[in-house]
Amino acid sequence: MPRSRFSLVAVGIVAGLALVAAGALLFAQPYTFHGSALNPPVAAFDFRLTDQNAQPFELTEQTGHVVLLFFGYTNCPDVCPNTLTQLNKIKSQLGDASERVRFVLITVDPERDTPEQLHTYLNAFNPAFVGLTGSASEMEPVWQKYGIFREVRAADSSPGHGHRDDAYLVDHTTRLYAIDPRGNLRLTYTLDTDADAITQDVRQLLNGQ
Amino acid sequence: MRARWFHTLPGRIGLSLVIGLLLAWLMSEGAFLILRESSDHAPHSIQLIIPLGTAERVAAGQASPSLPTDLTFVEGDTLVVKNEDVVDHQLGPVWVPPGATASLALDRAETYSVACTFQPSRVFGLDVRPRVTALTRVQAILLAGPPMAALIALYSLVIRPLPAKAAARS
Repeated sequence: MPRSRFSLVAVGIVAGLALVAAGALLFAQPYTFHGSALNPPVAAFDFRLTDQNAQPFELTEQTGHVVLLFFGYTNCPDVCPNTLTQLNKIKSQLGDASERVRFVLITVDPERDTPEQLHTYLNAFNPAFVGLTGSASEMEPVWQKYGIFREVRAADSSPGHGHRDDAYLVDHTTRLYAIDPRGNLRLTYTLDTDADAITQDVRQLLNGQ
Repeated sequence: MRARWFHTLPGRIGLSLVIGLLLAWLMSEGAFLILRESSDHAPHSIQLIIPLGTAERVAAGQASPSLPTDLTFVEGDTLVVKNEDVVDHQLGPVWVPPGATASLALDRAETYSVACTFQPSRVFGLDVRPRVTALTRVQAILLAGPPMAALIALYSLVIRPLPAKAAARS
């Protein structure tokens, strides 16, 4: 091939690639989060509680990590085990990136959820999960700032179910919160949100979206 | 010039089919143009502002006059909820702390009644309609055209029967 013709072809290829790249940039759609997005993001309410190893856990110390936060309790018969199973799925889908994600359960039942109880319970799902508890005065502002509804009600005491004084249920909000690596509350999810969708959103948060 | 084909059954059916499809197209496109705003607008955001004092009014059993009880969207729209109240509010999957704004992309056509904290009834209707595409419009024409053509063909045979010879042949 003559040199001038070769140059012409090369210039054509480069120009074509540049056009494709420009088109991709021009028509690229911004990522749309699957969860309900707080826009502009708001600083997540900071708290200092006790984890399942009886160590202090402070939210501001999690900077650089995405925090997936939900509120529940270890005697929960349905919602909490399901949520923890879903979090496990998200963790495995994230693979190595899950090292930069904290999966946190904050109790709505501090009377029964001692650090030991949380330790035993969470070990059954994933030892990497964090369980937090505290005194009622420590927990109240956290529940309030995250809009958590909680109501203690007696467990079913009908014949055949038995009844103990400490056998009660706690109705509670089942929302999942995503806090970005800068400590901003970014997204909330309902219980029925698909784990794949949450994983995609978490990846975006880890990438600085 | 005598249109001899009009006096044959295939000719009559063919003409009826053309007229049927044409009428179906006119009706379908007419309805589409009239209802366009609620079914085919470009994706946009619909903002709901929860005014200061809403929680107090709800606690007293009063509805906030500026807040609707339901909203209609088209797939791809975004619901934006701005909370100007001093307590957090919830509209179905959208939770908004006081003073914040939250949004949710509505990417699935569905009609739901969701829990909300800013109506005394505690219920809010969200209607997310499917987006009308070119394929939907073609489907509408193809669904309405043939039955209309059949009726036109029957009607034409009643008011202008085929000549006896043509009828005997067919």
